[in-house]
Amino acid sequence: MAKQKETIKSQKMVELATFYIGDALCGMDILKVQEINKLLDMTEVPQAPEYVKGILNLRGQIVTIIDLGRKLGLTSTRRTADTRNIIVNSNNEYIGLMVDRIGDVVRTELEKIESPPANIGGVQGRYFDGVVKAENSLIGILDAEEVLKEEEM
Amino acid sequence: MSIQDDETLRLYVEESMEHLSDIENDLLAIEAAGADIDEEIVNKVFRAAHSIKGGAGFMGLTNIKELAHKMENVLGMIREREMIPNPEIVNILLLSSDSLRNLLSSVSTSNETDISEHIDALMALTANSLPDGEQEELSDRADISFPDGKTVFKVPKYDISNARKKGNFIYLVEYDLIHDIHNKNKTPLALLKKMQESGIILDCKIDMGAVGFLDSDIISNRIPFLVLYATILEPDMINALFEIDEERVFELTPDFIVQPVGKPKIFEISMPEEQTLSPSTEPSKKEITVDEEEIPTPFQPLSAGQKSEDDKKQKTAPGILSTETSLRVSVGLLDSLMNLAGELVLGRNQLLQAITLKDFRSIEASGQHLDLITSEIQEAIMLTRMQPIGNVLNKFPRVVRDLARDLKKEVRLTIDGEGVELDKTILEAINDPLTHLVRNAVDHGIEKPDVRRKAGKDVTGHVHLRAYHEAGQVNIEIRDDGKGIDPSRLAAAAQSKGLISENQAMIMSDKEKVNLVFLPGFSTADEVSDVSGRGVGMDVVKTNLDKLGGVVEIDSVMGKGTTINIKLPLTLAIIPSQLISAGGERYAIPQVNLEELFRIPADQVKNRIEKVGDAEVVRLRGNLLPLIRLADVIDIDRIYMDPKEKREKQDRRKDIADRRSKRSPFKRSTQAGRGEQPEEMNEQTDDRVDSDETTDKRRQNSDRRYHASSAVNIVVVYTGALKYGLVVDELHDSEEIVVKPLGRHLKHCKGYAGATIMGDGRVALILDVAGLSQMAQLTSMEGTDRAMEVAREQQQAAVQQDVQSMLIFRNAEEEQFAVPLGFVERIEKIKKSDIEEVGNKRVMQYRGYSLPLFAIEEAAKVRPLADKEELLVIVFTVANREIGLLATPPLDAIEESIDIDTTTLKQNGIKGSAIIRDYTTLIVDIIGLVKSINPEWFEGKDMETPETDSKNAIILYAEDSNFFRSQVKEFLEDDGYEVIEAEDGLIAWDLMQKHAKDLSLVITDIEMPNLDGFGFAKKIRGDKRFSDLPIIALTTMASDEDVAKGKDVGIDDYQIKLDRDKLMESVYRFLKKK
Repeated sequence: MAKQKETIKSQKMVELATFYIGDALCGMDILKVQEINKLLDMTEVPQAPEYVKGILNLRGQIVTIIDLGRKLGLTSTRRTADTRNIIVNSNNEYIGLMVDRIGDVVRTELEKIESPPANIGGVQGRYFDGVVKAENSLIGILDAEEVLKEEEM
Repeated sequence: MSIQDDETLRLYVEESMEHLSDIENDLLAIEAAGADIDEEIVNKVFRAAHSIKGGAGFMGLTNIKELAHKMENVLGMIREREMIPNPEIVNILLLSSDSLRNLLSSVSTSNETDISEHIDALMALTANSLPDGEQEELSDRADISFPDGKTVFKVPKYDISNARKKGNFIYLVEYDLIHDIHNKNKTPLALLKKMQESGIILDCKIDMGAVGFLDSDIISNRIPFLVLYATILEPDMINALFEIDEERVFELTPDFIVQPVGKPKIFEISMPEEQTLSPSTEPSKKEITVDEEEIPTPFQPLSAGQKSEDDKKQKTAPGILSTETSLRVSVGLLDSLMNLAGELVLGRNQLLQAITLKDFRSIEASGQHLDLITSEIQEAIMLTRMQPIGNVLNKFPRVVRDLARDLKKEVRLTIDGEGVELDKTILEAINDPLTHLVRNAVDHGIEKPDVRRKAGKDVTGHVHLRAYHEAGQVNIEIRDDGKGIDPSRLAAAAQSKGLISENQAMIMSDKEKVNLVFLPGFSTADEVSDVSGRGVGMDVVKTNLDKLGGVVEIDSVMGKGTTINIKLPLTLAIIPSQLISAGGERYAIPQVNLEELFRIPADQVKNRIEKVGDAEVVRLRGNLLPLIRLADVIDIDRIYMDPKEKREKQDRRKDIADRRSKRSPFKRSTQAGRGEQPEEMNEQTDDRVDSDETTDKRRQNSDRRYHASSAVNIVVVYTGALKYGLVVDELHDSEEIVVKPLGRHLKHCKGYAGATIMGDGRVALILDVAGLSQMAQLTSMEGTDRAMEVAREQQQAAVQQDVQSMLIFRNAEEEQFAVPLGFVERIEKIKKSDIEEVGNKRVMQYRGYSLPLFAIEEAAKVRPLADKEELLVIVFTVANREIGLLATPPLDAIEESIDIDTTTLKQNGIKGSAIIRDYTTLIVDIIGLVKSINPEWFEGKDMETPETDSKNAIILYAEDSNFFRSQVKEFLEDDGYEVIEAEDGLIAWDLMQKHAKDLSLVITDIEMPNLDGFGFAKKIRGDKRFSDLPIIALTTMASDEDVAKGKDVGIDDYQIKLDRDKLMESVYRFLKKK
């Protein structure tokens, strides 16, 4: 067990939870993901920033749901049967990221991650930690903290 | 290991903090007692300092130990009456205790903090009051060494000889932390405590040298802990206390030689020494007993818990400890919680079982069971958070004392209700506001002694703090007997700062003026002192209290004092709240902000809601209340239930009072459309785009106002001085909700105080009443401003016009008629077929007799009655008969100022016209109407009227309403009386002076400006000339109370306005009597 860990460490593997925002395939370190759910019966918050889709009761915790598409400056996420919330824990607070579709979990080596270009599929580069090539597409690795930064109003 | 160290240290710090909080007030008591010391209190402080010292030595906190020790010395001298506590001494002690507190709150750095200032001050105190020989001892330190020559302690000789004074023996004890304490399941702190119960710990330390290196493989299995201990216990008994090997207990001889207790030696010299030095001291044995009782053990259960604690201890570097992170809870409470938790598990099991068995009866039963347990657990958990308010209040004696000293005032502080409990969070949050208010009371409230003497008051000012429960809230009262607050000065200051207008200042009551100090940017102190410039912080005080859901009010009597009353909720975590909905979403309003709920029925909306500029106001029991529409403030669509289609629809009314949609039905794009854009919308009104919804919503010709769904629901809320009505779509139940914070992305939304989870699992937002008013830009002053403006306008309007209750109806569909509501007896709905035409007259069968029916067109030239199946009959009583006036709907009752034009459209049966709801409305003269159709009904009546003497009778009629005045005057003049009119009681009284001899009767309204009917009647009766003059009161409503009150002041009869016949009868009766 310990040995196995060692190997992973030395190879610096990272597992990415991937998901789609519009057509862009994005990923996030799976360790940052608390859970993925499809609770969509949320309460809208009038006057909230436009990228805030609403708030949700997640087993007694109030979770703010952020429309990732809107937040990244793309079209807003449409609710379909595939829509999911990725719940992440950021600064001791649960925040949900609403995405269009969930993809596979992709294992990749840290070394293969390249620094992000200025723009990935219309999304500003500052939201990404880097990109990694998958079999037939490019995965943009989201910088969760940057995405979850509050915007000055 | 280090965690347990932290734990021990934390306990020590907490306990010491507790001691310190007591010390402060006790020191103040010592100061107050002066030379006449209360030994018990001194002992208590002494012991507190002592406990702190003991623990500090153990923890290796040398600075704390040193300071506590020096304090102890001074206190010891006070106890021995070697020193008389004067304010200077107490001051030094207080400052030292402050310093101790600072050291304790940052224990990790305490050893590096410079405390020489306090040490020197304390040393100077002890040195000054000592005989020369002993002074030397103070600085002279004795080395205390083991027989093997290892020096373990350096102790001032003075301390040793001091300790010996009471016949104590001094021992050096060597504990082994591992074998003597840890292995015996004891804790070092508990041991120290026990030792302090029967003696004094002079010094203690851990012999680090003997421990060896922790990292090395061979860890010494001995951690020696050395205690220098003075006690009354004799050497042969000492081991009962220490419970360790005799060989490790040593005795210190007067010549500072350490020898094993095995060889006891009696120090005969020490006994007489004690007697000479402190002859007045009680035998020390007794003292010790007293001390035992005095040991503050407010939370007994904890010592129990402490025992089970592991006892690894070292002076390892502790992190900065915050004492706020832990809470003491009684074991009894924990037990009951434990019990309840067990019950909860049981209940769950039952429920699960019942569900598997599909046994609905037991599901229901266990559901109820769980319900009960849940509320009990909730209550118990809440109790754990409750803390006595004394924790906060008890620091004020010091605050007041210091402040009074600085300001050279004499102030006495009394505190009541320290036991009242409040939620910990609230308690912490009210500390600052309360401090501010208390400081204010001393600084600005209480006068200087000479001023007080001149004013004939007790030289010593009195500040009283009181906490008590009332109506599920905690009230805190801060009362001073100082100079009070001058309302006019406050008003003037507010005015000069432009916070209020001159007119506002004039209208405001004194209390309102006093409460102006809460306005932001206000300061009245001519000289702003550095202590508390009054007003600078008052708005902050208020904001802070508002945040807690508290309310603050000031009452002040000039020269007598000021009382500030704060109302606080008991807890913040679970709050009762009112649920409402707007835009299809539920919201909760905390009940502390809630004053009342009310619903304006659809047909009154137009009358009761008015628009002043941009602001809408509602008339509520004579006051104007600014309105905020929740949906508009948070920019959502209002929803109403369409009664025909039974589904929710958007409500697009522009004004509440307006029933038509002025808003463009253009679907607003979610973003661009945010915020009101009235102009743009008006432009768009013409090119409407029809969608399904908009067609539905198009204003139909039929009036929607009869549907209950267009009623307006208003939640009257208040926050501090501001009160407003929140217009919501629907009102629901009230419910206890659990407050949960909102995420950081939603912090910018001022309108919400948090969120809560509803029974169905959905989230509802909790509205922040203060935040909403800010969003609606409704500040307190603005609100009052608008309301006052409205009131003024209303007043002016009332002078020219009268507010009338009118019944509006139609005859032909195009013409609107109105009749004073006061005339109307009843309204009946009939079918056209109910009308019978007999003898060229229309009648209907009604309650067993024939009710004559008239239509307006029979007398007046108006369009004929609409030919409808459904008709209305308005029943009046004219000339002692009931008659029915035929009419057609819509029917409505209004209460409005009506300007009646009695010339333009006047004709037979029509008194005049007025514009009501944008329609020219004919006012029906019902008596004239009946008279012109059936003049014979009135002939008999005329005969009744007195013919001769009273024909010329002059009647004085006081009435402020033009409308009624002209009506009643007409009746009276019709019957041949002469009428003198007066607009109010005062004018009437003046007129009476002129016509004193001619008057035969007075008719007066009750509600009148300047002088009301009661006052007027009183005046009349007070004048001998008018003692026989009959007075008839004419009112719209006469309650039994009013009648009784009227009788008292000399009113002879009560008549209802517009009941012509009865009034005439009454007038006739009184005149005839005369």
